[in-house]
Amino acid sequence: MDAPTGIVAPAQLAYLQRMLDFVVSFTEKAGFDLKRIREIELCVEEALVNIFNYAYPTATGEVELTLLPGPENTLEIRIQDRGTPFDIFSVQEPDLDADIEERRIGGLGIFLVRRLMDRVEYRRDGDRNILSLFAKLPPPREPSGG
Amino acid sequence: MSLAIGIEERMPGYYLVTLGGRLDNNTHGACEEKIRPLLVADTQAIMFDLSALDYISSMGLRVILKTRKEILGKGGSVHFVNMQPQIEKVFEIVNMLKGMTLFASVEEADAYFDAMQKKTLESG
Repeated sequence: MDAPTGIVAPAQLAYLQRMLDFVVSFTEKAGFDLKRIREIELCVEEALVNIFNYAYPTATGEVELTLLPGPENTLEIRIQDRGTPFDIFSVQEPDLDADIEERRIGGLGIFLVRRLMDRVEYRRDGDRNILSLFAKLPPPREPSGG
Repeated sequence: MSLAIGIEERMPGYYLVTLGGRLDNNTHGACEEKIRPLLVADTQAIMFDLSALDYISSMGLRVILKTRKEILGKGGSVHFVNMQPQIEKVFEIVNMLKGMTLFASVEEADAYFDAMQKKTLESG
């Protein structure tokens, strides 16, 4: 894959679709299949909505999304904000063994991100939250013919 | 992209809710509002036809979970017809398929409810 490419937008729901479209169009070009594209889109949506809801409780802020080559033939989707520190791994997993009717309706988004991505990393660097989602790149297309 | 919602009463108290497109942050509110009138004691079953649903996020899952919770609380049931692989995977991860009947087609679901209603009439 080529050099990093990215998009910066206000951390507001109104900009969600634009950012998702950016990721979808990139993953389509990178050759991911439709099922995986929808999964990646879902994880990016969950991560972004979380930032929109919790990162900037008092002021308005921005979120930066960057797509870059990750280690071991992966795509890294790096999502950064300058809001409240939030470690995705600090959230307790929902109790999935509880009957669905008993289960608290919440925490599902983060749980999905952790299960659907091939790897997830979080770090706090100065005033930044840096969340990296890794998805294994699809194998290169076979030359047609033969 | 948006969400298409269709609601049809197939038999008394038995509703088919067809969802197409995207059930996400933008569309979950509209979906919840359309379904709300069905959340009454007279509703015996809600069948979600998800054949044309392309995408669901956690907000969308919440609508389905809340619907199921309310309907079960009133003595009814919620089922699904036909979901695309990416939707089924998400349902699996959140353990939502446990104890649920997944129908392959609306016809199959109709037959099931027809039989169930006859049984109810006989025992009543």
